[in-house]
Amino acid sequence: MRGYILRRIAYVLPVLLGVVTVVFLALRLIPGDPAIALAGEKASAEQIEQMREALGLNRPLPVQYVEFVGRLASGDLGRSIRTGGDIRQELIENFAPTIELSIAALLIALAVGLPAGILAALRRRTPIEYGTMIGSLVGISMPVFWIGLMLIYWLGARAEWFPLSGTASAGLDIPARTHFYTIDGLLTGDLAVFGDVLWHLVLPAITLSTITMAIVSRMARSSMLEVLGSDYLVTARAKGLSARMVVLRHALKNALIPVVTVIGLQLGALLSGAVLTETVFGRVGVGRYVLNAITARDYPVVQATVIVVALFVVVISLIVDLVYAILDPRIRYA
Amino acid sequence: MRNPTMSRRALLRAAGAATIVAACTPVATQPGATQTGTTATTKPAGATGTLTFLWGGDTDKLDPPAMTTQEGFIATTALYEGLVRYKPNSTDVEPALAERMPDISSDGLAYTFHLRSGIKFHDGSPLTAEAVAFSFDRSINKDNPLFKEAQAAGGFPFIDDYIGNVVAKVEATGPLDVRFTLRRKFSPLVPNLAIPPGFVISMEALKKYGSKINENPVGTGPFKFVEWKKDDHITVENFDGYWGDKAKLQRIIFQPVPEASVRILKIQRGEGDVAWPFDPKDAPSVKGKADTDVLEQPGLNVNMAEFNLKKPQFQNKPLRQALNYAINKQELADKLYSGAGVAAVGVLPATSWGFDSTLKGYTYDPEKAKALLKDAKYGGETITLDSYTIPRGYNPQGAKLAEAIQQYFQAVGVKSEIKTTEWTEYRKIRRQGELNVAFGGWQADTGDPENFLGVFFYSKNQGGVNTSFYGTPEVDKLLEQANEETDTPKRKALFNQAEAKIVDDAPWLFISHMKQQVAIRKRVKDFVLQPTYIYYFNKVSVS
Repeated sequence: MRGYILRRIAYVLPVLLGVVTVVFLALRLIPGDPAIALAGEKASAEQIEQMREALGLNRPLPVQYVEFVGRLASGDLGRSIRTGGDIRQELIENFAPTIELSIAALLIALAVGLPAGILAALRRRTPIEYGTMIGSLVGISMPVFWIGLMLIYWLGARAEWFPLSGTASAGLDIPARTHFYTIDGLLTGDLAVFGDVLWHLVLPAITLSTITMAIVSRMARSSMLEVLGSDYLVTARAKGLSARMVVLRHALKNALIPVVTVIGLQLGALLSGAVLTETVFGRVGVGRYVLNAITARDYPVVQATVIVVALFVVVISLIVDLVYAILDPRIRYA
Repeated sequence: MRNPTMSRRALLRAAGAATIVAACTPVATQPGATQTGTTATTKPAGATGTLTFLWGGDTDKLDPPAMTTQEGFIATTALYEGLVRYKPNSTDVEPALAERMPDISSDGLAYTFHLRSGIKFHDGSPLTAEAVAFSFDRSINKDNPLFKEAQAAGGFPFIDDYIGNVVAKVEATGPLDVRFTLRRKFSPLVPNLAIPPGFVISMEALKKYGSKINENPVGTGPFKFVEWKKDDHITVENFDGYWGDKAKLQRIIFQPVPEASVRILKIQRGEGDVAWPFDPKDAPSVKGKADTDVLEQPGLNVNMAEFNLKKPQFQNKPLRQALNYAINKQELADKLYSGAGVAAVGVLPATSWGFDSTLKGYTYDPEKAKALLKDAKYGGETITLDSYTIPRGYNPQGAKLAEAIQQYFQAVGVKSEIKTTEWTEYRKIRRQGELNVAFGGWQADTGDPENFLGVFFYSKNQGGVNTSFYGTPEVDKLLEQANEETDTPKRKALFNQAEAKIVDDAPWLFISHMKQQVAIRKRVKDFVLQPTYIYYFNKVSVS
C-alpha cells in the first residue's frame, strides 16, 4: 500500500509542472497584448510600453518562465494587477466560500442522487426508475446559469422564499475569521446571522448540484444494477438473507466504489460550475474572482488561480485513488 | 375533552423547527431584526436610513488616483472631495475644498487655491495646504517614496493624463494656500481636479497606511469608510464632522450584482434602491411603476466608427460624408439600442458644456449619400468594417452595430464586409493603423470638451487614442488655443469651431450617445444624475 501511495504522489509532480507550463504559455500565446489590455482603452503608447516593462513582458519567454516557476516554488503568487492585492491572500479569501458552496452542492447531490439512483435500480421499470432517469437527463442537459436564473425568479422574486443574490444580507457584519461564511456566521454567536448565510446558500447550492446529482444518480443506478446481477448476490439470496440485508450489507459497498470516483471527479467540475453559479447569484468566490480577472486580463490572477485549482483537483484525485484502493484491494496490486 | 398540552416529543420537535426557521430567515426580512452581528453605527442627528446601490462589478480599488473603474469613481465620491466639484447634473465646476475658484497667474502657469478653513478629515486631522500638497505630491512626484511604493500595487495609471503631465509641482504657500505650478498653459486642469485623481487624501492616513490607503480610505467627504469586502459590498456611513451640508443618509451600501436581470429584480423587490447599469430592455419593467422608476439623460460618451485616414481609400472626403448621410442614426438609437441611444450630431453629447446646438451634422438622407458617392467616384469597391466582439458601455450591442451599418451601406449601393477581432487584439492593430472603418467610442472622465476633441483629433495623439489618424493645422491650433484660454465662453467658441471643422471633414461615422440610466426605487429622494457618473450622495434621502 505504501508503494502504491508513493507511486501516486510521484505522478502528481509532472502533472503539476505540465499545468504550470500550459497555463504560462496559454496566457502569452493567445491573441491580444496583455499590456494593452491592462493599460486600458485610454492609455497612450508610452503608458502601454511602461506597462509592458513593469510586467516583465518585454523579456524573452524562457527568462519569464524560469522566473515564474522560481516564484511559484517559493510560494509567491504575485500581485493582482486589477486590485493591487496579494494574490495568495485574495485566493484564500475567495477559495473558502467556493469550497463551502461546492460542499453544500455535493451534499445535496448525494442526498438526492444516491437514494434516487439506488431506488431506480431496485425498482426497475417503475415510475421511480423512469422519473429518476428523466430527471437526471434534464439535470445534465440544463445550463447551470439558466437553472440559477429560474430559481432566482420563481423561488426568489415570485415566491419571495429566498434572497435573490449575495453571500449574506447587505449590511451584516460578519468578521472574516475563516472566510467560510457559514462558519464565520456561526462564530458571531448570532443564530440569525448564521441562518441568513445559510439561506443565501440554498439556491446557489441547488443550482450547482444539479449536474452532479444527475451524474451520481445515473452512476449509482448502473453500478447497483451490475452488482445486483452478480453471482455472489445470488448466493447471498440463496442462503436466505433478506432482500434488505442483501442490498445494505453486500450490494451497496461494492456498488458505491465507482460512485466514489465520480464524486472525486465531480469536485473539480463543481469548482468550474462555480464560475457561473457565483456570477448569477453574485456570491463571493474563486469562480467570480477568476472571471473578473479574465475580463480584466489580470493574468497573474488567472494563472495563479488555474494552478491552485489544478493542484486542488490533483490532490482530490489522489485522495479518491487512495480511498478507492482501500475500498477495493485489487486496485493497489494492479 | 382532549388535553391541549403537547407531548414532550412534539414540544421539542416544534421548538426545534421554530429555531431552524428563525435561524434561516434572512436578517433583513425579519421584523425588528436583531442588531447583534450587524454593523454598529453612531447615528448623527437627522441622518436616517440606508441606501443600497447595486452595480455590476466591484471596484478594482478605492485609492482615488489608482483606480480605473466607474464603480470606484462612484464610491470614492462619497468618501473624498477635490478642491473643486461638479455642479448638480452639470459639467460645470464649482469650489469644494477650495473657498473659491483658483487665482491664475498672468502667464497662466500658476494656479493658487485658497482652502476653506476648519475642514477635517475622517481621522480628525485638519485639511491644510500642506496636507493637500502632500496628497498631490504622492501621486505626481515620481521621486516621492509613497509614489514608488504605490507602483508595486499598480501605480496611478491615468494621473499623468489629467494632472501629472502638466503640473510640475504642488506646494503650500500659506497655511491654507496651495499653488499648482504648470509646465504649460492648460485650462482643463480645473475640471480634471474634480474627478478622483484630484481627490485629496489625509496626509496622516497616507503616512500611516502608505499604499494600504486603498483598504483604509480617509478623506473629507460626507461619508466615512466602514468596510470593504471585495466582490461583496462596500459600506460607508454618515460623517458627522462633515464641513458642508451633512448627509441625510445614515449609511450607503454598494453591492455588486453581476447579473443585470437580477439587479432589476432586486430593485423591484426592494432589496436595492439604485441599480446601475442595466439592460435597456428591462427599463419597461421598472419605469413609471408604483415603487420604481428610471432616471435617464444623454451620457457623456460617444459611439462611432472611424475612417483610417492613413489608407488612400478613405482619403476621400465626399465618400466619408456620403457614408455619414447613409446611416439612420435615430433608427439605431431607437431600435438597436432599445431607446437608450441618442442620435449623434457631432462628437460632443448634449450633456457637455461644449455642445453646439447649432451644429447640423449629417441627417439621414440616402439620396444625398448617393449623390456624394458619385462625387467621390465610388466604383463599387468593398469597404471593410472592422468591429470588436464585446459590448461596450457606449455600444452595448457590440458587433451587431456593424451588421446594421452594413445594411445601411448596402441600401445606397456601397459594398462592405465585416471583420471582427478580439477586443485586445483589435485595440492593438487599431493603434498600428491596420484597420479600415473601425468601430469605437469614448466615455469621458471629465466634463471638459478637451476630453473628447483633444484626445481624438489632436495630431500629436495619432496612434494613441487618435486612431483615425486625423490631424489638421487648423484644428490643432484651435485645440491648443482652447487649452490655453481660461475664459469659458471663449473656450466654448474655440471648441465649437474645432468641432464644426471636424464634423465637416467627417473622419468618423458619428453614430450615437448612450443614455445614462439608473433604475431607482421611489423611496429615494433627491438622487441627481451627473454626466460624469460622479454622484453626490449628501442630499439623497430615503423615505
